Amino acid sequence: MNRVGSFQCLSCNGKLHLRTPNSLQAAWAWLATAAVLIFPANLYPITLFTVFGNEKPDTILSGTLTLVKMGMFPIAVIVFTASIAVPIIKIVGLTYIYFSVQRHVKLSDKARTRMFHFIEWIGRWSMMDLFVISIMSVLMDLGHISSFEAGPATAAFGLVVFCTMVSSKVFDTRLLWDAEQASEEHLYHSGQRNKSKL
Amino acid sequence: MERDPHDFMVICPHCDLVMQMHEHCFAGQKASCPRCHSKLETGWVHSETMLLLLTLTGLFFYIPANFYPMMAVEMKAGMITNASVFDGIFHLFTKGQWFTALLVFFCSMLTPALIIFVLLYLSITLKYMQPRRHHQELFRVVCHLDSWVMLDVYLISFCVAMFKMKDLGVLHPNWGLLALICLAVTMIYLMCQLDKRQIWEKLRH
Repeated sequence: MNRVGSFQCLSCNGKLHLRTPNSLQAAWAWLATAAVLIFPANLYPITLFTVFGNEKPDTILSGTLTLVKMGMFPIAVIVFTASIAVPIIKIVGLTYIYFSVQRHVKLSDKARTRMFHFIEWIGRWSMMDLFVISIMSVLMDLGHISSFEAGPATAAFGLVVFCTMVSSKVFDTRLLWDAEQASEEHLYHSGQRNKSKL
Repeated sequence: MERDPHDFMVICPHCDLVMQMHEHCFAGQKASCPRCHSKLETGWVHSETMLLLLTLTGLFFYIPANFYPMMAVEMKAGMITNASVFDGIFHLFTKGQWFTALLVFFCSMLTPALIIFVLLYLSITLKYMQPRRHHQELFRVVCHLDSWVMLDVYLISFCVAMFKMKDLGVLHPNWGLLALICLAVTMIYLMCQLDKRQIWEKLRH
């Protein structure tokens, strides 16, 4: 097998590559999209709460601050983590990982792999805000008395979550340990190190 | 070192470590990656029956979880509103937020349904026929979708919504919530226990 050639998997007929072609480029593209969209997601109102004709738009941050003012501190922390901290951590963290892979920055494989999978895992929790909006918009809908609607930022926010998740999906994790060739550690033979190279 | 012809290669799904294994796990045993300690293979007692039973359980809870009202809110004015998972999505859709609605639909209704139906279909048909091409295609979809099942996130969101609304009226939890919790637990258990490699081996011609 050469570096460019591809084989088919015997089980699933999927294409096999030594490294998925252009995966870093695709991952960068999705990440850049998310990094752009995080601005409208945070600047525009994400919810429009109307009581007796008084419309009260809330951005993600002002919604969290309202929760703090109402004294619901634990909920405010959860909302802040899921909708503000996690997307930013994801974008910064993935940028750092992709950059370190691209530039062969010395970093322990283990730490980088653990970091990548941690970021991949926390990504799902940002969807929380959209679920909350979906539940509350029905329960608060009382026609003319009150309504709770999704603001223009929801689509942008949804796209941020979606793009960062896809970005970590298309990234070929094997690139993580290409940066630092610790070839011995990758070959185990039933728990013992096997010195022969593949 | 001599290679045993029964040895096989395994790749850790988490950190891509390539390893050689001598034999499959027995029931109750578990193989984990020596580098990152994530799960490689579990010996699952009666795995085929378990898979069938879990998917049937999921199917049983699916309709009530998504279409029965999860909660009713009784406002001070005496008005009552009901909400199910589907209502929330439909409401967003009618208000013009179709993208958000689609995303919520995808993560909370579509992916669990697809996974349940595909696994149910696989576990029934593989008992009576040889694996075909479409079985493999279907299972590949399941492998790609597993991180998009967000029922656990949905339950936490439900708690957040409840706390946000607790001052606005009286909250009455309904049967749909119980079904949703059951569905979420079933799906989490199913995804944790699902041994993809074992199924792929069965799917090989």
